[in-house]
Amino acid sequence: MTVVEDATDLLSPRARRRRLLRKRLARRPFALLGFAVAAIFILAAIFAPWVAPYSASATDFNAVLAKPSWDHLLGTDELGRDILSRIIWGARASIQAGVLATCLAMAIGVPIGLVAGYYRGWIDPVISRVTDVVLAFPFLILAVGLAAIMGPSLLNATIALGVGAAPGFVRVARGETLALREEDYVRAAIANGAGDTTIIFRHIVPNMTSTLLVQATVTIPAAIIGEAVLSFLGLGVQPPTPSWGVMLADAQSYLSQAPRLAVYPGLAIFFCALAFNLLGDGLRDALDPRTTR
Amino acid sequence: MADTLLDVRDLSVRFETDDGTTQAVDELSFTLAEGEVLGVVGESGCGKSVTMLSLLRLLPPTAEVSGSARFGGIDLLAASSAQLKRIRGREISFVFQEPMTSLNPSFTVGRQVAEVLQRHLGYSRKAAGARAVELLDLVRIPAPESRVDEYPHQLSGGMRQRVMIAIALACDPKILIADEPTTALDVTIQAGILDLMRDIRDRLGTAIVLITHNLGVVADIADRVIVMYAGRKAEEAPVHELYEHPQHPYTIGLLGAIPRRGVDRLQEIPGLVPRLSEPLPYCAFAERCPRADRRSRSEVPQLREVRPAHLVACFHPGSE
Amino acid sequence: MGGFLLRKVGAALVVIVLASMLVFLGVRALPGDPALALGGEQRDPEVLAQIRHDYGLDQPLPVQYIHWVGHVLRGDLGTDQRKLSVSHTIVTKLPITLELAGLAIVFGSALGILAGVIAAVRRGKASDYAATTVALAGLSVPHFWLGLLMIVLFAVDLHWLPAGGYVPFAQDPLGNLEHMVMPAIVLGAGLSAVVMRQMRSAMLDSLNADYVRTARAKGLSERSVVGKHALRNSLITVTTIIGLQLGALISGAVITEQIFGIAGFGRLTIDAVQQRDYALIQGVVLVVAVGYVVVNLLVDIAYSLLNPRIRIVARPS
Repeated sequence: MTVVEDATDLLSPRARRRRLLRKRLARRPFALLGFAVAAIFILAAIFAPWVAPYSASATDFNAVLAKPSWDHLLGTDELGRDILSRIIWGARASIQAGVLATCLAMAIGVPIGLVAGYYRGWIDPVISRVTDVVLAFPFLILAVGLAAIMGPSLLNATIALGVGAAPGFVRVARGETLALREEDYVRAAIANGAGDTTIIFRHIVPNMTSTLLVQATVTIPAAIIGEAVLSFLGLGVQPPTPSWGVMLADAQSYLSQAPRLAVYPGLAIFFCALAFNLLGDGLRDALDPRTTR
Repeated sequence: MADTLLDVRDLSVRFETDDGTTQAVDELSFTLAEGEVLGVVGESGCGKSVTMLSLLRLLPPTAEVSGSARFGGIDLLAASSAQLKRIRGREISFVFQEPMTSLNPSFTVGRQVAEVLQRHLGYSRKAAGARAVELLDLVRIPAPESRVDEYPHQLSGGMRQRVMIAIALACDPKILIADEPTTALDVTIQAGILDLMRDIRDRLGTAIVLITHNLGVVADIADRVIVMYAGRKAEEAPVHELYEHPQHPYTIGLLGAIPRRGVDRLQEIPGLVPRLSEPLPYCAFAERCPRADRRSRSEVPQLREVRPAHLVACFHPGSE
Repeated sequence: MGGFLLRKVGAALVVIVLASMLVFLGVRALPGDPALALGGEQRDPEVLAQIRHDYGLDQPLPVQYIHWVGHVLRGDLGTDQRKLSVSHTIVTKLPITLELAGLAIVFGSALGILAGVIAAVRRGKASDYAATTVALAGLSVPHFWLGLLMIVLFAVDLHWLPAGGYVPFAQDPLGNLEHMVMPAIVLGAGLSAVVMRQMRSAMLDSLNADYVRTARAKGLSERSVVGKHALRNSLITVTTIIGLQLGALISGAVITEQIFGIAGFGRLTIDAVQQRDYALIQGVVLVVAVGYVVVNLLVDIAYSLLNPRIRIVARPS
């Protein structure tokens, strides 16, 4: 007679893994910190109209390049706009770009990687070569090219970033598919006559979600930084719409007078990216079967 | 009567991991004489490898080792790092179980042999290379001059094992510890390796500790045998004595499990080797023993000499 | 080794050809009529038609492609808007960026490898956590921001280093290095973070391997065990990573040159696009793609040199 030790025994394998994951994550304070900070940024971006003390374009020519004060917690820029508010509003553009670019990269990359890893044959080397070719163009050049063809805008920057990040997902999806299709339950399903679509959607995809999640949490900060780079170069968000990259571009001319114009937006990018990276790192660690905690 | 090379007393090894503690070895004592071949026998998990690894302090940091192991006037378990490094590879050598992964894939086998010569005996690079060829010849690798520049992945399992033995012998050690040297190899190759070990014993006079779960191998080459169970010594005797008059029910069980002509059924020993977190306060074999009684289940049997030079830890010893 | 090399080079060539086609088509896809751009102020359709004919723009695309390839192989990448030879412009600007990238790679790899080894050897202790956190921070910092801050600190406040610009090495070696220090550090910082993490991971794997235990059993010094046996195998993995980072390095070079006012290849790229200078864009992007493929090929070769298993096909024995 077997005795049920605790409720965990009654859960399905996947649910048990999720609970284990949550426990292991809880033991990693840095990952939780990352999660919290990332959440703060995201919420700030969503609720910007209510959170930001001023509107992003409210100028005040009496208080140009002002030092931080109770009126303007982080000071003002060269047009008297409140820096803190611009940072909060800027979070919208940056996080939007980061998240959407990552989603786009996933939407493109995962199916391609799946096909390559599952069907192998002749299509696998072809896909690998094409991925190499895309990688032969650093994403910046791609973005620059897209901007030249379609004009600079946040949307185009997001697309360029998404396309640039897609090969990463192709690789991960392909790797996972290759490994997963050797699993016993997949072979059992094939032996039982399951069709390709069933196997892919019921057995393979659900089991790669955690790895994809890790890849996503590290792609987002790269995309956020990427958006900043593009906007900095004038290829992304166009002024006067605020974005952290635009703010940094504006700050260049005032480096000696008011370095804080460059420091604050940069710090925002830094902390936001760091938060996602900490979260992604913690997730990856928690999912790694080699670590014992 | 040859000199005692190694004197191990009350060796205990515990592993402390996040998953829990495991008592791998419990107050084990044994000696090894010069030029002797000692067989250490037992199932997987009985602690035989751990015992020998602990002598050279090659266990992972989660291991806690206690007891003493006297060799050449010092206690190996208490020796300083510098002393230990002088002994490893030079006075006491270890041949690992897995020839596949125990050799560095990025260096030629010649370099890996030469390394010990340069380190311990001060050979120059060239002289070490030449001696490496001689050593490869000693372990009967054909065409050693060309093999010496090859990488491990270019050699078969049997040859890799021979390379490991060559490395172990390079500095003419007093003791060679071989951990399951034939287990990972084909049966046909096994015989060759055993021949080689016999040769080493005869020609070089090295003392050998042969760890194995294969009683057939032990019968071939050992002078004396220790049978281990669950981290303790169950029986110890000269080899012929053990095979002709086994005393411990576990040894009898193991011998019964050797395939023999004329015997149709292999005798299994029912049950599994226990995984202990604390040393048991009674006979570890009691659960699986046909002779177990109330005493077996309440006291630890101590080693007693029941026949000349033949020790057993059992309340009911005796050949059937 | 020969066969292996041939296959790799062949594959690289295929990628180069595909990339060149992509470049060719991409540029043709840009809006605007090239004839107008080439003709300057001309609006007369007949003159434009003549220009089109002169430049072969009225030929079918595949023919144009072949012509273009022919020119390229002869080293002629055409002329840009200001009637300067594209090849000449690229050849003068490329070495600047190559120097920058080279310094950045050296700095980034050295720092990353060193930090990674230390973190792995001291796993779980304070220095490990410190190094890993710094590496993570390095990944999160937008390095162009780092550049701006460094300019503020070292150039504006402390006046230790120049704020920007470039001096050729041949002209003034010390001045050249002074100008290159900050950009190289900024560019290499991101690389060092990635390298450090990969190195740490690879070293941890190596240190747990059986052959390291064998090395210890041989009585080798700890320095030999870590520095020779474990390190060798880890470097193999890390070399590939460095190779993969080159794309990011090129992107990074573009921005770094922008910030530090270095008129190098990166700047050239941005300028070309902003000015819609098609011939220049074409040349630049082609060079980038080819260069990237070549470097990847070199990395592959280096990898195979380090990893004997790839280089030597095992003899059946």
